[in-house]
Amino acid sequence: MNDERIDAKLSIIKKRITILWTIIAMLSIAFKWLLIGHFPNFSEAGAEFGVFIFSFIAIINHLIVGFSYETPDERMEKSIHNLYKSFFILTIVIALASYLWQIVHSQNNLITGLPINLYINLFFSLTFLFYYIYARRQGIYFNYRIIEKTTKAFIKSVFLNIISILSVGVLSALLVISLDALQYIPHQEIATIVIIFLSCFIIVFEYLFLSIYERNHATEALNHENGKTVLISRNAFLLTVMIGLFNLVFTVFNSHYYASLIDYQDLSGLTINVMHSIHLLLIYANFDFSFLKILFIIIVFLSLKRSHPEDKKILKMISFLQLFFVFLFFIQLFYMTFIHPLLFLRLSQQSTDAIQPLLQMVTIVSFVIVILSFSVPLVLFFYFSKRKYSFAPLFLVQIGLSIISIVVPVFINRTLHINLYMIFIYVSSILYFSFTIILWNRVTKTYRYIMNEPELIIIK
Amino acid sequence: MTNLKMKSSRVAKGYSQETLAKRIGVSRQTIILIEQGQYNPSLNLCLLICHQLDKTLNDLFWEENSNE
Repeated sequence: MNDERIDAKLSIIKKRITILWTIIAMLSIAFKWLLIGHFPNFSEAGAEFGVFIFSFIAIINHLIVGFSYETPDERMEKSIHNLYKSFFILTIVIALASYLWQIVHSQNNLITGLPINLYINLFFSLTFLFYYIYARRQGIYFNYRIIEKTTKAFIKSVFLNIISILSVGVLSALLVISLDALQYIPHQEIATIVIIFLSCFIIVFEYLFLSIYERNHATEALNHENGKTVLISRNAFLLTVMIGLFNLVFTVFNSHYYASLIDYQDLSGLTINVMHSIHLLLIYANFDFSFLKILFIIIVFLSLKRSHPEDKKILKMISFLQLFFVFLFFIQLFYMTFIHPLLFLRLSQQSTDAIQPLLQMVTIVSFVIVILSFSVPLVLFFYFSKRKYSFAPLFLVQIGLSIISIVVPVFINRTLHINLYMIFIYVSSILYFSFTIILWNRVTKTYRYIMNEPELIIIK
Repeated sequence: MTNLKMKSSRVAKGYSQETLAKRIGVSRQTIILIEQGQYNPSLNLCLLICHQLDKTLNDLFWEENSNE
């Protein structure tokens, strides 16, 4: 494929990302300079130096090319496209090579308390994110080369790309093992390999998510133009699986965590500490998942607006209700994680009366959250049943499952019947997760047939 | 402005957007954007489209100026 439109847009995207790389590399160097107290050397900020130098050269070259033409024309655009095409790949290779050099030469996996792979993870995560955002703004896909292939060919290409990313990780790990065997680097083989593979898996996960997301988007756009509009995008199902899996892990782990607090005398201090750390990590991850929930609501709103353009006003109200629910949940989580422990620390100094209004407020918010957790599926039930969708009653079943999971634990004495409580948590969580998957699978496989062809002028 | 002339010529020829895109060697999205009037193709791409649809540049891309 030699698409002039894509070539022109890619130049714009790569130029913007190159500028972003330069800024992030500069900020990272400045940050490390502040933390370390001296200008960082190559083993402390090697990847940043590599990225900064090559991005800067690309920008300067762009300016030189721009000034060498009196009036901008297609030849100039072609030169700029070729320039960014080479520099983009070169900068990524240099970033990886200098990062590898950095980790094999570094005595420590932490640079003033920050993980050594922090910059390279940030570099790839932001590149993925901004490449995707800029590409969508310019009307092209991240996987534009393979997006129009058949499903089988597309999956094959995505897996080949994943294998290429993993190969880079394996080659880097092999290099580390060889250098270690030759006693060329400080002996920290395992830690280095773990860092390399962690970086690789983060990149692979992001790429896989983007590929599935884009493929669904492209297929649905094609179907929509042929008059077959999906009720709610398949990407809502993708997010449901991710959020549902996280909620399942979160609920099951939390039940174990609270059980360990009850039976803390039977457990070692190390086990309690590990469980406490995982509990904190899951709470922090919950903040990230709040953003995925917002993305889910946006996708549902945009899909329904496309399949039911006549309901724009009602859909806005439903989305607002959903967003309000997520917002309250976020506030409650923030309070329980950061404010509540602080208040308890200060209780010894102040009277408990001072925080009574705040505690009452928290109780009210919790009640509103419980009411909203029933109201949102109820509103969706009324919306879909009014439009005679066969899956609408399933939302009522979802409400029923929510009620059971809230009401039953009230009657189980956790301290006395911990095993019964744990069995209930396992059964209800798995049941709720499986049911949500079934429900959203059906919703995202429902189509509406809209003919949207404009009036055609037949040319003789 | 939507290029209905190109769209109707494509439909009359029995080509889908995907088929036309494949024959020219561009993405389907580029064809959509040209038909929606959101992308101005180069002269070279216009000629390729015209050859595939057996039309002239005037048939597909010439717009009468309403002021004249």
